Amino acid sequence: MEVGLRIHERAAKTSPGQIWVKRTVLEMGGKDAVVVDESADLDAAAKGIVSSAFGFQGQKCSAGSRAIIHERVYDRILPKILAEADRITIGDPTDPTTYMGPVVDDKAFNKIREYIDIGKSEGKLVHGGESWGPGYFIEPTIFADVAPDARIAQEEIFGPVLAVIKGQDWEDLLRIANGTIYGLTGAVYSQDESHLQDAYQRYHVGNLYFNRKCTGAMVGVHPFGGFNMSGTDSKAGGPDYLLLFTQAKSIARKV
Amino acid sequence: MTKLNVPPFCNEPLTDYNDPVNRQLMEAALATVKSQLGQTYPLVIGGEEIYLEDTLVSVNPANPDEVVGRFPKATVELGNRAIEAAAKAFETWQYTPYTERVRLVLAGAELLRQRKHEFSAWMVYEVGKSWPEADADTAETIDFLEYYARQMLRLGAPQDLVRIDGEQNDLEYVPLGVGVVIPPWNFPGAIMAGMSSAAIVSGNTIVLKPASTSPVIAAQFHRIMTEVGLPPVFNLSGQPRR
Repeated sequence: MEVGLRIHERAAKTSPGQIWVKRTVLEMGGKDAVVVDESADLDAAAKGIVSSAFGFQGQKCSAGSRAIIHERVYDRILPKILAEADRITIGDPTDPTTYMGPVVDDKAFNKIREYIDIGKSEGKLVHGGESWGPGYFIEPTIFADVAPDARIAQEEIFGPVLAVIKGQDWEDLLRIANGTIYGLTGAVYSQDESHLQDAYQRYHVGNLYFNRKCTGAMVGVHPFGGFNMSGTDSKAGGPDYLLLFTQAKSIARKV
Repeated sequence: MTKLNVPPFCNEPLTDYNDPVNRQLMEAALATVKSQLGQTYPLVIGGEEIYLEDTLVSVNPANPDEVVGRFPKATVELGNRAIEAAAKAFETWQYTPYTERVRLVLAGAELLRQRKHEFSAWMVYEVGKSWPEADADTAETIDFLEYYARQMLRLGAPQDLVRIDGEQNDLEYVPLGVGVVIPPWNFPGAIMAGMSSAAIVSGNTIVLKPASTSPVIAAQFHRIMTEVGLPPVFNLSGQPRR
């Protein structure tokens, strides 16, 4: 996010001799959530949560790094999430059976481990937490009982760290989901049509998914980009994208 | 104008690695890439390849002793030269018929499709993607090229304006100029190639600064676009030396 904002600021300054306004197209990250209400299919939701959180080691802007669960189903879904996470294989990605490879470099490795340490004081470590080398391997790590305003629930970690947060009712779930500076992707697992309709309007993210994971946007199908500090909502893979790279010229000829 | 016969867009299918044939293709691609690890790549400015002593070393995150490739660190002078080269190329590229730009981007998609497992294998080595994650990234890369090419056909076609008596009216989508593309490393194929191809197909020229942990994948994509005959509208620059 800092990099994007710095580019945005620099691009806004006009240099001597510059006779055009520079445009910026920015995609700056997310703190995306999978919301699970009391009516949800919990098996499907647990799968979606784990896949959203740990695919490519959680290093996606769209990664579901928060799971926001209705208190009435919280104790029932947590073991399902842990069971799904248990099945994750970590190792050398040249091996076809590997699900999670290393994180990208030593800087990412150190930063993620710092967040895991922070998480230990902010929530209950219920899965993973270990890391090893050579190679930048970090276990899929899950913290339960995390407060919505905890650092690991607010800051983009960009690694395999999931914060599980409890909500009291639908309104609370949605408030927590919207309660970050970002607004990139989000998923809602629910069988309650009124909740889905409400999320349709009020869940303020660029890419919203119902009863499926919040990663894996397809070109042309799910134009990708988000709100607030997630960037300029420049929908990559959408019909408006090329307009960002063009300007329209009207030509009239008297006949 | 180039005549094009472009079928409707459809997403590149994902590879089923349970199929032994696909598994073998990917294993062969990984072996090919492994035999090419550790090479030195050039910057490409105005079509000229520039090798420099001072390089950043891209390593395999699963085994940091293994060098994936070396990529030059640029200087402010070289960065400026790349922008100037792009500005020079823009003088003609902006007037190239859009169908010709579309043809080149589609040709890039086709060549990438032929090399898809190799492109995925580079991602496995350079950023630690699992096979399915790398394959999805490659498929998305192909999709962006195919999709933006078709969007340019739509924008390039006559636009639906209100008609009035006594005037012929047109609306043309013209490019902006020189763009700088600064992609992240986490979709080192798709985001890098998506932003680059969108800018290029709509008539802009660019300077791409690859992410410091995935320059080799950017260099592989640049090679593909050069091979299909893209003129030097696509400059490959580097991280500034610090």
